[in-house]
Amino acid sequence: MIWDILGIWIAAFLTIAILSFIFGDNPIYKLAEHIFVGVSAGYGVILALNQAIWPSIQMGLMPNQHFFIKFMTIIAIILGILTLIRLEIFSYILPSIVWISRIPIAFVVGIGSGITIVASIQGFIFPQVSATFLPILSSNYTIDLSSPLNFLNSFLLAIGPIVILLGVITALVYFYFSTEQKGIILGIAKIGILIMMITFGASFGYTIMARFSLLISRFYFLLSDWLNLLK
Amino acid sequence: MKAILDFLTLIDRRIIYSILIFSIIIPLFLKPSLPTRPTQEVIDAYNAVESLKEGDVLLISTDYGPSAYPELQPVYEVVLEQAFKKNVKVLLMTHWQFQGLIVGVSGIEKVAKKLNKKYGEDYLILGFKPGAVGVMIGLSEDFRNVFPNDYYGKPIDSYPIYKDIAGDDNVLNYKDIKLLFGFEAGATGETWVQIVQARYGVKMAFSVTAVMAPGYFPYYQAKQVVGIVGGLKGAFDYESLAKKKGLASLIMVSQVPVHTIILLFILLGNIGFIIRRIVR
Amino acid sequence: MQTQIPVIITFISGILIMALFFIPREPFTQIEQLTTRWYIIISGFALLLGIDSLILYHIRKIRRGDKDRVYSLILIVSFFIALIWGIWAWYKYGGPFVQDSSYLWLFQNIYLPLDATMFSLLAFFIASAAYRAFRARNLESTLLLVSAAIVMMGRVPFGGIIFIPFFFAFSILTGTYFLYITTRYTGFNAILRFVLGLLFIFLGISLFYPEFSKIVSQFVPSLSDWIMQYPNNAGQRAINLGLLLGSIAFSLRIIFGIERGYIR
Repeated sequence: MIWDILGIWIAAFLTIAILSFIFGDNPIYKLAEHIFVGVSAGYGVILALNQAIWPSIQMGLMPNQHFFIKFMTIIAIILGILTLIRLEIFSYILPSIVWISRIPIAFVVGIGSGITIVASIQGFIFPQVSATFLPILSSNYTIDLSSPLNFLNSFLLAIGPIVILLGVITALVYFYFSTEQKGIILGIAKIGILIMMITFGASFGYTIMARFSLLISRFYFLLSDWLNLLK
Repeated sequence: MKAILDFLTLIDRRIIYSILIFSIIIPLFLKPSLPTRPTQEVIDAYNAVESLKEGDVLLISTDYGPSAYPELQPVYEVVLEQAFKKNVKVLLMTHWQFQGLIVGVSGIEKVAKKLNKKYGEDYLILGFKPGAVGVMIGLSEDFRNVFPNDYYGKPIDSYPIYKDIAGDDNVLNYKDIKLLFGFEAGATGETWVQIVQARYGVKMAFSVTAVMAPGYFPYYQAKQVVGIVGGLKGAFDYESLAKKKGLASLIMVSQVPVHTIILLFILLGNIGFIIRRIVR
Repeated sequence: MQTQIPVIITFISGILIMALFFIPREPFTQIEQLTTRWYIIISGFALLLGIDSLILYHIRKIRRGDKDRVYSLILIVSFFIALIWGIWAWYKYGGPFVQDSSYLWLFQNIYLPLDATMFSLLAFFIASAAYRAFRARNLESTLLLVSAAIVMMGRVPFGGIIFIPFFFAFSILTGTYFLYITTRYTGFNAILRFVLGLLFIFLGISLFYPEFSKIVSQFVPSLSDWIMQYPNNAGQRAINLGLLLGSIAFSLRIIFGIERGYIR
């Protein structure tokens, strides 16, 4: 019981400490900020170890796993230990072996780059491109004329898939800086910019909504759970 | 003239912050009612829960964490209240490891305590098992294969609720589940639909965060999902259908003045800007 | 020699892993899962390197006698408390995040409030920055403004109704602006500005007709949903595709040894 009450008071203090930043940098805020970085780092290590690393090692070394998988898991552990040579301690003790750590890094970078190429194309580009093109065929193009509002709504739904297709293409043209943009390319790029502006405006509106609703629930926590002022 | 323009475009930011803070706090105290017109997919989700009868089984999957709390927890608590008031049996599980359990368990225990529902008789917490797709397929055969023990470590068939819901064959699987209500902050819900709804025909409804909502709409339009409650506005609509003033209503009530004030400030800045342009 | 071996290793491992993706034999069908787990294990050790760098930086700050060294001390102490408590809870309860674990107390009362409040703190700064920077300078920035206003108002109850006065003010303002600057142009440009000005003022005044206002206020929420689902979606997809194409190009450069920044 006392732990719960203590917990609420600590949470309230930390919340107010962070919020105090809006009126200027101050020692209480710096205190909370440094606690945040320290606790996040510690919590992050525990989270990674408990939820990702340890289960991965366990699954890789399960008794009935294929030999190749077990082999790769052990290679991963060895490579991981070798990267630890990069710890600063070693640069003081044994500077001559620091170059060994370049080997596991080279492995990791090579494999990472290879994965990026294949997985991006297979797992992202194909689905995204097909999702951009396919709805044009399957979408509902009827326009409802029963009232001005229904007309507007059904009109928007009808032009939606085409807007997506044209929007993606024009915005990608805008991003293409390898050749000089002039003439018709410039015209298409300008339309691309307009689509991007709509995107940025919508993202702004959405971000305001998300962050303020979190802020309001922080205030609700302070007024209700901590001070019990709202009934 | 210059003074007016400066007033419009150079308001000190601490004044803006103070006004924003007041516009957040005051509605929290006043708690006005805001009428709203719920959209069809929210009404359908609400009716799906309302149409459950005494003794039916509701399976809830809280696949979200504390970061989605304001958007999903209010709907979760209303659904629990609806179910408990109708004496529907509730089973709780999650695919989101410890985060789903934090929000799920705290919510169900709070509502159960308020409505005097007993653990093991009226509701059961199955807990978390890893392997999303494997779990979903395993549940189609026998819940005990996936969750031999409940969240507290006791065998699930040792509770009185098990005999009530397992049916004549004493095996609990999807055939005994009347409705699955998923609370999703990620794509787990799509997996629910693609695997469980498509193969086993389980009726399902979802409450999702605003950012994930567009991904679920096609399933609602294809009638694979009976209802969707999307984002904070959906949560607010759902609470108003249940005539409850919960967290979503409170947050919404503060959100309206906040958005208005931000737009107002932007407008003031632009008025000053355009007047300056005209004058020059 | 010391630089050449890593480059060769990068090339071989990159080509190898790409080839492995296309072998339909066991165990290579699970190659994606395998590489993900492989990566998680190695990045775990890399995490240690990151933590080491963080801690040593702050220890150096304390040693040097910096002005803010008290905070560095607090950071290091918080880190070790979070770490050791987690390991102890893992040992005592079988896992740091199981139901009874005391570590959940740290998560709920220290980490969560800090994380949520930091995130929401930005709300104030975004609002203040928007006030200062969102100016309707040209078509692009006006489009951004209008899109932001529609999305913000479409997502709250009464949003459509509140939107009306803003719409009125905006159209009167733009109309007046266009009418005034007509005098600074000649010929076709002047006529265009004049017509646009009249159009916007007419739009603003027609908001006084209750029928038109009603349609606008009911249209705003569905327009805001449409903006999020269609144009916004298109822009996000374009950004993501651009990022991905860039990272594929960069990965190719790494494999072929053109980029060598990772060897240091």
